[in-house]
Amino acid sequence: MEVKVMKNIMGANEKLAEELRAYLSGHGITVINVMASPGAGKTSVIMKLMELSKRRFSVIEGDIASSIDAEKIDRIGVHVVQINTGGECHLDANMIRTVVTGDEAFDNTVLFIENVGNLICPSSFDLGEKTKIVIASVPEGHDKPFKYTSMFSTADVIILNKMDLMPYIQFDKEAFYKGIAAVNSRARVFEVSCATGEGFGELVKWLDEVR
Amino acid sequence: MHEYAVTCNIVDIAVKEAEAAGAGRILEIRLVIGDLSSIIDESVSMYFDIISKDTIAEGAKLVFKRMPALFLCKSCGREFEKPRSGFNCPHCGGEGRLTDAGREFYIESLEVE
Repeated sequence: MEVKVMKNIMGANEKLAEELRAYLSGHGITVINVMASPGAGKTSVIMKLMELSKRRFSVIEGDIASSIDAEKIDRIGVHVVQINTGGECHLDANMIRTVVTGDEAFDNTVLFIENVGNLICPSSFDLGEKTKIVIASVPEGHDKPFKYTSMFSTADVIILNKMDLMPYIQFDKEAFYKGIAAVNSRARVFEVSCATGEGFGELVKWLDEVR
Repeated sequence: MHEYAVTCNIVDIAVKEAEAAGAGRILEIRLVIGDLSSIIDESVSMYFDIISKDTIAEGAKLVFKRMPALFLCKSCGREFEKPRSGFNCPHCGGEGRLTDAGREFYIESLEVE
């Protein structure tokens, strides 16, 4: 006998993410899911934005096993919780729900979730976020939107980091932008450098308006 | 890379649906998976053998229906599958735009008894 199913395989995560979204909105928490490859500058961009914007922030650090990034955030006095996935390649809605629910220090903040460094898996998991940021960096090369189509196609904002290294790297900016245009017509793209602070004025202006 | 989590979901949904239909055993699970999902069929099959053990899905055959990621050419309007390199149209060389095809990720149906 055949049974018609037609059910999304990620449905359980998506249902949890929707429930989480209701909780977050009730507690004034605006979630920004930050995704990138390892070393693209996720922590640096988040820290720079928290330094330059006057909004209240909190952070969830996703990592396979260390707490190096969370310690950096803790030192500047921002509420941070570390999630060690123990080898899992991504964060999911249940992990975020477990951390956020009932912890009042997250209330009325912009919550940056620094996802596990990986350009593949995190794009499949809704974390209840308002906005997805994908960070690419100049030394990684201009071909990333072509190789990681799913990740770049789901971004609301794409940040090209380490612009100060542009003179030293063969990075074809035109090709990079063509790749983005082919897979994502709505994302805003910002070019920044955490080392020099270049480009952060515009990005902070965008962040200050995210509701 | 996250095939373990994905396979847990597949077994979970299939067992619930089969039980709701009053079935005692699942013979086949038909999956529709878009190429943008980055899921490896063999890896799902490997986890499936472990996760489905001692459930009514144990021994079921997994059938993967693969859906290609499709692009639409801005110049000639034709649809084409994601080329191996770049996103340009293989017919006229125009710039392609990603469509929604390739994001499918669902269980279509089960064969049960």
